[in-house]
Amino acid sequence: MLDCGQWFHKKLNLILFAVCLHAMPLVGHASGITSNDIFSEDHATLSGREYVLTKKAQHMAALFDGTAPNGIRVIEFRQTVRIRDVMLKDEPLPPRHLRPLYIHARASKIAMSECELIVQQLANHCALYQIDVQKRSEGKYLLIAQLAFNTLGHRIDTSHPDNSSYMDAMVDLSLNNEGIEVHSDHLHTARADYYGRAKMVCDAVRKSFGSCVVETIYFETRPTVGNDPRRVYLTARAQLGALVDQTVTLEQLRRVAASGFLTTP
Amino acid sequence: MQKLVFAFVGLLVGYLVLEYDVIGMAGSNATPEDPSQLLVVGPDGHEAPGTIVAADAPKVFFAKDIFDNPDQLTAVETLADFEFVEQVEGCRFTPPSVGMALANVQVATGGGDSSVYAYSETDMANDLIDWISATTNGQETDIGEKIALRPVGKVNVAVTDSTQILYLVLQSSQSGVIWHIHKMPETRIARVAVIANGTAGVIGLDPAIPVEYLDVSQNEQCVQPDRNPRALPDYDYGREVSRKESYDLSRQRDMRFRQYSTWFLSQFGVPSETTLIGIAKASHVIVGPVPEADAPRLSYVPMDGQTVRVTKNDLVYISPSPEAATTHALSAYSNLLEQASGGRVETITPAPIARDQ
Repeated sequence: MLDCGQWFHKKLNLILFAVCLHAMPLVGHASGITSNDIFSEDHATLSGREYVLTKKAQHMAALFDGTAPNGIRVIEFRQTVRIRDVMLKDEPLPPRHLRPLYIHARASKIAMSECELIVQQLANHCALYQIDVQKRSEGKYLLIAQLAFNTLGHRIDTSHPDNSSYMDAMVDLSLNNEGIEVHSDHLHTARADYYGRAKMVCDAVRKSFGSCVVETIYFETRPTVGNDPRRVYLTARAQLGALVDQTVTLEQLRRVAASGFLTTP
Repeated sequence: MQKLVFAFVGLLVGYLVLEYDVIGMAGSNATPEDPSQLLVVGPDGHEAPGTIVAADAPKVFFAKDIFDNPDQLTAVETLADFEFVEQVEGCRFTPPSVGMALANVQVATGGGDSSVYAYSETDMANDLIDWISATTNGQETDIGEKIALRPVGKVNVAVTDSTQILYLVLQSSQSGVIWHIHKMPETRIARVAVIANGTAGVIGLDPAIPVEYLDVSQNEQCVQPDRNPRALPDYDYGREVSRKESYDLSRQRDMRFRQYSTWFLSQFGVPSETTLIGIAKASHVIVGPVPEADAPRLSYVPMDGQTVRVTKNDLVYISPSPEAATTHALSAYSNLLEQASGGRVETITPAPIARDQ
């Protein structure tokens, strides 16, 4: 669809350009708001402030809902895979033109093996939320999976948010900020370690403030200074969310989270 | 003020009527005298409707000036059989001999549909990748919807040049094509080279004429046919293309074209743009002159009862019947999906897992 500027440029018609500019808001194009936004049930019956509060409450409820994984709590998992990584033992390699299909068809299985690590360390349930496979050079593929999970711990009543406030904090799980040095073929062991650390810091927050969920964990790799290019540092940061008393400060939350590292698992 | 508004609205309505042909005034016109007016610009260059024959670029003619039965061109046809032929090895074709003239034909894709329904493993794999991507990202998609029953494209080749011994080089860059050859008496074809990017076939040729095939989709080391992007019309992508993106795209196309041109020169002894016949999407091409107004024209011979010589590649199924193709395709797609998933199709959309209590 053309906007008024493009249309004007094509047609060179000043009068119609003016008409177009006036007409656009009527069809909801220039404003960027769709008819769904305007006429949705929530919006039609609630004031703007109430709408925002309702949406916020729904988000809170989903965030602290421990019953099932959902797209609010997601860990993004990336892995470079080659055709050999997805083949079964003794299974012959497929012809070259079928290899992308084999990688796509088996990518979910690789992602779910990460889910197994997540439920061992951190969550009650884990599910595949989204997955993308991108072709790289030299027969490599980058698998990017988003895994939804629910944090271990009790469900928290979020129906009275006025008594407490939601606070989130980014916590460095790498301690010394150097990360875990690991061979790139064994990143999963380092990630498992970080999942365990995320649980420890969240447990500490929950113990002090009554609630905590791990919202997401971000991983980063960077090369080591040694000669082996396959060895990397893996660092991780976790975003924690908690419903805390309104007097609690972010600094307090971070301090308590950091104390979780001192806890014996 | 009210009069001004009425006048303005009147002007506006008049403009819209003329601009968008609301009352069908343009439709009342006869076909334009210049066939090039019927060309449209697509992503790969010019595209022609089924009534147009492409000659050496940028010339185009009406099919009625070349074929004496142009109404037959779009008739549904039934093939008798398929014959599978091997592909050349190492991207190498037999070079033209002394005395042969190269007829250099290239399209991106066939404008017409052949009566050949074919599935190669590569086609199926691409369809299944689309289905897996949609399914794993929460879109409920019926696998049947992804099975596109696509007829292989077709291009009619009208050969009218009786002054030379021809070496036909038939190239398609975007998809497989069936080349349907129609010869004027006295014309001589010594050899044919088919370079395709998918299933390719030739029909209507004397079986004694040697034909060599190359499907670049099956031979990664071979370069796919391409045209000089500088000689192509600008295409409106329908979206904003930044200057950098535009530069990158044209640079990529330039590089692809140069690679192809170098390879073509090494095989056939002339650059790939030499007297290039065809446009991006054409249903018919002509090799040679258009018959004089009072001279006999070419008779279009339908494909009915003829044998198509097609490339032996990873073709899974080929049929002249769309119904048979659909039935076979469903089981062929299911088998390939099962094989690709390691025998467990359900692992493609895995259920959530729970912690051991």
